[in-house]
Amino acid sequence: MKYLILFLSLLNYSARCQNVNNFFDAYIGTNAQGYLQPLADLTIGGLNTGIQPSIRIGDRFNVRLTLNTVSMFPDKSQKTFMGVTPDEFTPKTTTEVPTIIGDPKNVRVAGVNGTSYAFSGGYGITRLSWVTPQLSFGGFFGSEISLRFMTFGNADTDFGKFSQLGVGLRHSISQYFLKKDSPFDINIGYQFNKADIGKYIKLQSNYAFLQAGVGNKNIGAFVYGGYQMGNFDVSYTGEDNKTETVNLKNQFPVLVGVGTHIQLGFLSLTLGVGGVKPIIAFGNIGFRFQSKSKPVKP
Amino acid sequence: MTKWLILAIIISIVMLSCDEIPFIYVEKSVSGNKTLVYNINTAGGINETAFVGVISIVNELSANKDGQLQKKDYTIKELSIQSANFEVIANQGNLSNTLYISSVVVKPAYTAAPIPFMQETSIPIGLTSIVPQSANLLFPGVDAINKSLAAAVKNRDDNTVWSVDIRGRGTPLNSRINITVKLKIVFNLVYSYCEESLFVIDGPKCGK
Repeated sequence: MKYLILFLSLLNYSARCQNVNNFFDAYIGTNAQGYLQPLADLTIGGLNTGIQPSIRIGDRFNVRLTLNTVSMFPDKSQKTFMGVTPDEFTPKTTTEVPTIIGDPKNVRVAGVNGTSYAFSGGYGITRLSWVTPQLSFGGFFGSEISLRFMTFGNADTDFGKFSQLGVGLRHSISQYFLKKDSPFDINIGYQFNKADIGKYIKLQSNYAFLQAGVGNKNIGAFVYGGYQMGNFDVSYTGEDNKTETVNLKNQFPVLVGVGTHIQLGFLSLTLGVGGVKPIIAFGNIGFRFQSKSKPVKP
Repeated sequence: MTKWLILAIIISIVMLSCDEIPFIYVEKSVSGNKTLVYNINTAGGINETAFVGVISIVNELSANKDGQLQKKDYTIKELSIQSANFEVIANQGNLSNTLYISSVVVKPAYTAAPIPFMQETSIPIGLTSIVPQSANLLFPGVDAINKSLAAAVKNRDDNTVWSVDIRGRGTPLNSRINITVKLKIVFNLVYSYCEESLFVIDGPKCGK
């Protein structure tokens, strides 16, 4: 199974000045929202997944560079929406048709007296993946701050410029009621994401979560759950060269998951799965550098 | 051990990044219209004709899809009538209050017998009146044009020109009717092409 990395694809596109508009312009008006909605749910859920590289924040200052890989597997229900025929079409018909990630085949509806209308097909997306670099500073007051920043592309090309900013916070609340040598940890956290995906997509999301798990300094496992809210605005040129902007919000606010991690020297690996719609698998490769242990007074 | 593991992971990432981007099969539809204009100024019966060539319909609906036209394996799959409406605009000197259309017929220009395209209807004349006509379309005319479009899609040299004749009168009887009638026929075009995958991982792929 081939494994493509989104931002490399985007670089590839921007470099070749392809017309990205074609991806979104299947509909203007009523059907555009239903057609594009899964992209918002996949993207916002994906950005909020894999943000916790481990369960233990630790009490020694550390810097961790992580490559966060996520793969979103859309739910079957996200592949179709109820499309409505245009106003002048008779009879007005509502039927199940592909979303942008749905079946590539069009759906044809027969009208009166030999007329017909076809709904566009999707792109047959069964998996969407990307990699995001993340830099974390942790181990102070039982807290950790994570940053994500990427920018590339050229504003003068059709695609425009890609830029992403992410800020995450985690704080250990178990330090206040569990013993220091307890294998259990409970953290609260918050993640903010903002991205401009070329001239076409602007998104912003907020995610608050609770993370609980068990581990030692080398290995651990955790569960997490939280509430996410996001805006996902898609702009494109539709028929008659009119610019259409579709304002979407994520439809699935609850985001939960499980993960496990291992620390091998300065290398850390994390694997997990979250969701529920879509199911999101994540894997992190991290390089952690931390301060030496404080000398113990005799 | 740790060093070898790190090296293996870095090599894997580089190899995965260099994976070839596949072409995926995409099928979309677009609606576009062709407007036939009839300038009517008479105190008697109306018998006006406008012409439309099927290739011009194909070309006009494709014109807004410049991005797709350049795509690999761009193919028009289907083209058919989606809906129709009349727009009636009253001109200065018009004394009729209703346009009575007794028939709209179509035929390949200068050759065959006329085929009924729309049934009789009456349209009140205001400053501008737009009246949906899909329910008034008649299957024989729609079917004949759809077949002609299908033939043109298969053979782009088949430039059949159709005449669309409107017959009727203004009411009250023998009143001067000075109007512009626009018959807008909306067509639906289904096309496919192969697109370099931006997001897709496992969708259907085109041949290379």
